[in-house]
Amino acid sequence: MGSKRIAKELAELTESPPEGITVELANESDIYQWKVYMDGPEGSPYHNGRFLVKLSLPTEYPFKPPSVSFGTKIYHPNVTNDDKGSMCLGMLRADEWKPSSKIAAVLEFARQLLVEPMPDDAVEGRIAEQYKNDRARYDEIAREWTRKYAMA
Amino acid sequence: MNDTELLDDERSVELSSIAAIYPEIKIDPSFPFKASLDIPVNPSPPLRICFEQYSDTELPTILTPPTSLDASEVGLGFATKTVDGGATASSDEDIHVLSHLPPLCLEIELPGGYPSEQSPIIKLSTDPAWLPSSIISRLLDDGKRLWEECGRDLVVYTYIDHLQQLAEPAFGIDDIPDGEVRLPRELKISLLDFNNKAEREAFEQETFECGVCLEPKKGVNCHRLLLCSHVFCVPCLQDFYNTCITEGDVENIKCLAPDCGKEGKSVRSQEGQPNRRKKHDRTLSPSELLQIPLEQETVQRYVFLKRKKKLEADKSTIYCPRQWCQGAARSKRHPKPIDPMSDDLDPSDDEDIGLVFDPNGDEAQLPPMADRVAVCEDCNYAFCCVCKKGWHGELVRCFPRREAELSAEEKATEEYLRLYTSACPTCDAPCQKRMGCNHMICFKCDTHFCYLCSSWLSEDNPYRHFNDGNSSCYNKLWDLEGGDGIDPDGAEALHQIPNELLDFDDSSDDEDQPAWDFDDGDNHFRRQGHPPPPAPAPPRVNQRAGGPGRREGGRNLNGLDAAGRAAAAERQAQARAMAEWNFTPSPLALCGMLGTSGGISNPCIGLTLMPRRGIRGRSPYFSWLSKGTIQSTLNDRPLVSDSVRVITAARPFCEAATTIPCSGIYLTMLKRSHASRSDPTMWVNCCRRGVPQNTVARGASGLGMRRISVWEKWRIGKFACVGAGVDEKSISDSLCP
Repeated sequence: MGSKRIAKELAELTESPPEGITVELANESDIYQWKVYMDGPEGSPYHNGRFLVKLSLPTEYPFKPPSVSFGTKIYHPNVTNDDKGSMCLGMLRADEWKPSSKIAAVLEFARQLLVEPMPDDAVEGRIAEQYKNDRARYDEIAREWTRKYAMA
Repeated sequence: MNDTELLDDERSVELSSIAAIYPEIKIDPSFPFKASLDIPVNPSPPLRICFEQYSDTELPTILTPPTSLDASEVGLGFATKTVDGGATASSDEDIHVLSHLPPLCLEIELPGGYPSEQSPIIKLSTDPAWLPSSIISRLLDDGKRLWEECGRDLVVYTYIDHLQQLAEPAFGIDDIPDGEVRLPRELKISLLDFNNKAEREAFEQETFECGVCLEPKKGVNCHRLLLCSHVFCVPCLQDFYNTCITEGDVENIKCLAPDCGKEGKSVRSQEGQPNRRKKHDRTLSPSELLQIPLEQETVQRYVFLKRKKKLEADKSTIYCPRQWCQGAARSKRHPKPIDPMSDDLDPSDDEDIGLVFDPNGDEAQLPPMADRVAVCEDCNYAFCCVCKKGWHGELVRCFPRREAELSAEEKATEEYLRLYTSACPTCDAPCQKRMGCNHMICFKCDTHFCYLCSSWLSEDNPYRHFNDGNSSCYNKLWDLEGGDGIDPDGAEALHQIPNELLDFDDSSDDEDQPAWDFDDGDNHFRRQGHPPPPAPAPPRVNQRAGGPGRREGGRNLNGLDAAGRAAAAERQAQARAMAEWNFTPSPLALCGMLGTSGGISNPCIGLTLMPRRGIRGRSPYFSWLSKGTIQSTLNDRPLVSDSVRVITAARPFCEAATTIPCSGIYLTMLKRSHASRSDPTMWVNCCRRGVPQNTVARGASGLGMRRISVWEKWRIGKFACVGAGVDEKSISDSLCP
């Protein structure tokens, strides 16, 4: 059942992708690993950047949540500042996940997070602090990182 | 009358054209000018009906259960729910909202002389007679009137059409000034029954897109959830709920839609009731699960698990001291249900706290003698809840077991729990983090807490604790990321057993070195105070006794009392028995369980040691609670028991087919460093905490005689990683040839 649903969602997302998001399989023979390219939304310091987001679906999908991480380095309170780029999405926690949540919603939520970080729910406390207290500096670094890592 | 006449007769022409429009019309076979037609009554908007109280004389005449499959629950549930919104409904009135009523049966006879001289003979009725006679006679009059109005001509179609139009507002039955239609109580069951059947039929005809498989499905293959009305297809519901129940994840037996049930939460917080414990239970009732349908056996397990969770979450629960039983003691707060499938799963109130005491603690907090008797609900053993011996009567002064009487195993258990687990601040369930961040969610009571200091964290903003400069855990969200009691990087190397230790060395059994004389050299990272150490050294599971720190911390038990020595002797004997049985040095499994750490997008699974008696368990029994292929790193063979359920996914579950006695043997679960999501094999290293593994290998692990028999059940077979989708049976088949 899982792969059928994934195929369906993939087709839907390929046909009519949400704004600023393109999806493809990381490897055509494996439907469980997706490569998602996310354009930095306008008005955010990530604008003009193109971020690789890795989406990995468990075999139990949709009963178990997918996991999402940034493959491109990004300066963001909700993304770990290491090579894992792990993200903190409440909806992806095993106990919060609902089987009828869709990948599109997950991706849109992730993109929304670029527009509007959630500093109170941050995995990078320091960046969150900066986001709240010194927005200009945060914007600057985030823009710089975007230039450095997210523009090919 | 011959056929030609019949065909020419205006009446038969009229009836046959009516039959073309309403194929369901029944023409009387004995009299061709007589027909009957049921006119459906589906009022829109639905009708609010108040069923009036019985008068004393006609009391319980209709107490027979409704005939349709699900009438009572669906109907009553539905009706009560919709009424909640009604402003005029007073709580003690029996008001229901119906959108389908039994049809109006029209019998029409066209007499000779119709249409020019005679009006049609009309009879109207409903079964049961819910339509008041005043309305029926008005409708009958309408017939005559219409016949007159159309100039005494063919009137049947006009009349049927007229009735149909009137049926929509239910013939004006609700045309009364204040609110609901009042009908006698005797009609209630049959009307509700009819409504439910009709709704079911309408539902079955409809098509829904199941939110899980995203396929369009006919209603007949779907189920509408009673609580929230969301619709999913039956196979998806079965799949999901069956998995959850198998894994023990009973909290997830609720609606599958995102955000379902969230509104209620926000409303409550707006009202400013910070009552986090009293969450509205949105899980499905057993009867609804049966309706979906789920297997009776599965639903029984669900009911059992829910009750077990409740019991375990209640710190005042006392367990039977008989080790083979360990049932809960009877209590008024959690009475054992008489009917295991009954819906009111333990109605006890969370707020109502039972008496909690520490049987080893201060005399003053112990319950009075008269209250010390407890009776096991499973084996009916009467015992004293303080001294854990058979009930001795109120006049005997009894003392709690003293610390020194605790067996070495129990001490080791406590020690391990203290060192490598954190307790939930709400329910005290010990939890061990296997990986991930320090934001934990209790597997039992869903409390959010900090793994490092066990502080309660706000559900809305759990990370503040780690982001606040004043907090003792500032910037420590990722401390112990690799798990507690686990070396994140060199885990595998750490658990490699040096070859010399693998040799079974019976002769070196050292009487002076009691098996429980554990030392782990890691006293320095006992987590006692605040702030906790940032990254404890990994437990040296393969370390020989005699490390530098072994005499520290008062944990050297060489100076044991007589009881301890006797236990030691017994252990030695058992060790020999084990050796004779030719048991390859092999670890035992323990039993872990979960604790989901939240936050990060990879849900972090923790492993929690779960003695059945909750924290500081005195029980040498652990419930087998974790999932994963158990692979011994000692001899690199998978280790599985037919008395243990070993399934694949990484998510642990919380109830087992059975419990294994494995006290004193501790296991550390390691994620194989190259394990991937699709390969959930977990490496398990089992050893008695702190006891050098060669000691374990000698069998001096404190396995009692009785427990050896359990050991014998173990099958050590060849089976590698169990991939996803392999069912339990095939696993057990492969294990137990």
